[in-house]
Amino acid sequence: MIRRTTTAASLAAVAALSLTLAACSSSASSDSGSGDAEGEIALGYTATLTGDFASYGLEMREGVDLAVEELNDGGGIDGRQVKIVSADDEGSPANGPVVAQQFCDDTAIAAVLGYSFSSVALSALPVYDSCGLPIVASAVTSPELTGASDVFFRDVFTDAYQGAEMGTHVADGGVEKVAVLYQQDDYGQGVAEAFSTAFEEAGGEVTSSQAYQLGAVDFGTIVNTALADDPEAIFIGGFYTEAAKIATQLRSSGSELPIYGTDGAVSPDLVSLGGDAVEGMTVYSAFSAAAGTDASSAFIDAFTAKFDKEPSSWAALAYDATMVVAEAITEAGSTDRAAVAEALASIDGFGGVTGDITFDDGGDRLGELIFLQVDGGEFVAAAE
Amino acid sequence: MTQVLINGLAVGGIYGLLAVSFSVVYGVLGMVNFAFGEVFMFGAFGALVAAAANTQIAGADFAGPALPQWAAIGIGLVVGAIVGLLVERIAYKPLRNAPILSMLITAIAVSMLLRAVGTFLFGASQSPVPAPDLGEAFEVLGARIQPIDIVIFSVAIVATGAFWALVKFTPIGRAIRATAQDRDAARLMGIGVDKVISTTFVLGSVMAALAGILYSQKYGFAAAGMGFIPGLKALVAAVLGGIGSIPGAFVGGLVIGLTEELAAAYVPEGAAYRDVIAFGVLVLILWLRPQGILGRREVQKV
Repeated sequence: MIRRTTTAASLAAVAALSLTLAACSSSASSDSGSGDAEGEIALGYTATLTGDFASYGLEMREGVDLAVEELNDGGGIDGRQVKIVSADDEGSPANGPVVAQQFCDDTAIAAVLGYSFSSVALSALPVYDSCGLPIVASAVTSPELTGASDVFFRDVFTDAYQGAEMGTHVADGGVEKVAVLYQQDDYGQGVAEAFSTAFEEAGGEVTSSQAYQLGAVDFGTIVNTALADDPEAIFIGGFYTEAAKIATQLRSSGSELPIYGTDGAVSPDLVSLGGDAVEGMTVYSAFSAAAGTDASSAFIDAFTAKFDKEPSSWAALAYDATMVVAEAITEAGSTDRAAVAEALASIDGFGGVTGDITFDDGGDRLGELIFLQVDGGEFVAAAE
Repeated sequence: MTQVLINGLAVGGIYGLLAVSFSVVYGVLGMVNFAFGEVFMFGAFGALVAAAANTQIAGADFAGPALPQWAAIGIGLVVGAIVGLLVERIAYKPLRNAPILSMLITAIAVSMLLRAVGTFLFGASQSPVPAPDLGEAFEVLGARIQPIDIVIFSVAIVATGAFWALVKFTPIGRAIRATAQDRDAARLMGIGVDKVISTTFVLGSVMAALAGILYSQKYGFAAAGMGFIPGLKALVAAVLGGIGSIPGAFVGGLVIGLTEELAAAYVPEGAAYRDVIAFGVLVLILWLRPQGILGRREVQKV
C-alpha cells in the first residue's frame, strides 16, 4: 500500500509511554552551564523538551521546578541551594550518551532526573556507569531498564508490576474468572501477561485471552467470544480509545460484567467516548490529582497555585524523584556520586506524593498503586 | 454464529457503500480516488456538528445548530457531496488528459491534505458521537441483534440499489455509462463529459458520506483519520467485486466484512490478524478470478 497511516496520531500521547520513537527534528536547546557556584548543588535534568512528544518532558520539569523551589525556600539541602542543569535529548537515542557525557563532565552535578523515553535512557546508561552518576527517572517503564545499571533508579512503576498488582487486586475482590482482552503491542502484552500470571497465582482463572490491534473499532465478535465462557469480569490491557469502544460494545451486547482497565485507559477521553458504558470501570494509576490522598493534597495545592492547573502524574512522579534525590544527598551527607547512589539504593519507604517509595535490587520502584473508578464521569478513588 | 453473520453484514454494508463510490469513479475516470476515505470522514463530522448544540472547530467554540438527527444526516450527506465536488473541480479536472499516474499521485496528495484539514478542524483525537436511539437489542435464534446493524444493512442495500437503478435506467445514468465505456465517443455523441464526471463524483461522495455517517453512529466516534482503514478495505472490496461494477462492489464489501468477522470469531488469535486474513482472501480470490467476483475481463488496449 502506498499511503502511510497517521491514524495513531491521536494516540501519540499515550503511545509515547510504550516508548515508540518518532523522528523529532528539532533544534537542541540546553541551558547548561557548569554549576560550579560555590555551595550550590546541581541536578541534571534531561528529557524530550521539543517536538511531538515534548509534553511529558515539560510536565516532568514542572514537578522538578516545584520541588526545587520548595527545597530552596526551606533552606536547600544541608543549607546548600539546589539548581537544575537542563538538556534536551530530542527524543533521540543517539543523544542519550551525549547528554550523559555532558552531565558526567560537570562535576557539580550530583544526580540526574527526567527521561521521556526508555530507549534514550538505555543508550545513556553505559556513560553513567563509567562516571558513577546516579539517575532517578520518572517516566520510563521499559522492562529492559530493570537491573540494567547499578546507578539507575525509577520511581515510576513498570507495566509488569502494575499489571500484576491489578491481577492481585481483582482476585482479592472475589472475582474468580476473568476474560482478558489486550492491545497487541509491548504495552498491552506486557500488562496482560503480568495480570494473568498474578491473577492465576491468586487462584483465579483466565477464561480467554484475545489480542486486538491498536486502532481497531469493531469488538462485537471478540466481546462475544470473551462472554462465551461466562467470565465474572473483563480485563482490558490497552489505551482509552479502544477500551471505551470495548466497554460500549460489551454493554450493548447486554453484559453488565465489571470492567477492569490499566493506566493506559486513564484519560478524560475514556469517559467522553465511553459515556455510561465506562461508569464503574476500575483502572489504576501511580498518581491522581482527583483522588488525592493526605500525602498529595499539599502538593496538589502548591502545584495548582504555581502553574494554575492540576498536576499530571508525570509532574507528581518527577516531584517525588527530586525529593528522593534530596533525601539521598542528605543521607549521604555529601554530593559524592557513589555515596548518593548508595543512599538511593537504601531508600526505604520514603513518603512521596505518589505514595511510599522503595527501590528494589533492579532499581525499580516497589509501592502501592492507586485504584480509580469512574463515578459520575469522573475518576475517583475506588471503593475498597 | 448468527451474531457473527449479522455483525459481518453490517460492517460489510458500510464497506460496500464506500466500495460503490470507488467503483463508479473508477468506471468513469479509470482512476482510484483515494480521497473517498476523507469524504467518509467529512460526512461523519458534517452530521456530528449539525446535530450538536455546541462543539469545537479549529480549537474555537462553535454553537452548532442542534438539528434533529434526520436533518443532521442530510447535512452530512451535503457536506460530503460538496467536498467531493470541490476535489473533482480543483484537483482532478485540470488533469483530465494527464497520464493516469499523475492523477493517482494527485489523489494521494488530496487524501493526505483533506486528512490534515480534518485534523486542523476537529483535532487529532476522537470525538464522541452520541448513539442514535433505536430501541433495545432483541433476540433472534439465540443471537442478540442490535437495531443499528439492521438499519445499516437495510440502508446500505437500499442506497446501493437506488444508485444501481439510477445508473441503469435514467438518462444521466446512461450518460455515465457511455462516459465509462468511451469518453471520446461519448463527447462526440453530445454528452457533456465534464458534467457527467462531476455528477458521478457527487453521487459517489454521497455514498461515501452515508457510509461515514453510519460508521460513526455504529462505533460512537468520528476522527480525522477514521476513513483511512475503511477506505483501504472498501478499495479492496471494489477490486474484489470487479471494479466498475456496482453490485460487484457491494458484494465485495459484504465478503470483506464477513471474512473479517468470521476470522475474528473462529481463527485462533483471529481478532489480532483479521485484516491480514481479509486481505489474504483478496489475494486468493483475485488469483482464482482476476476480473473480480462480478467483473468482466478487461481487454487491454495496446
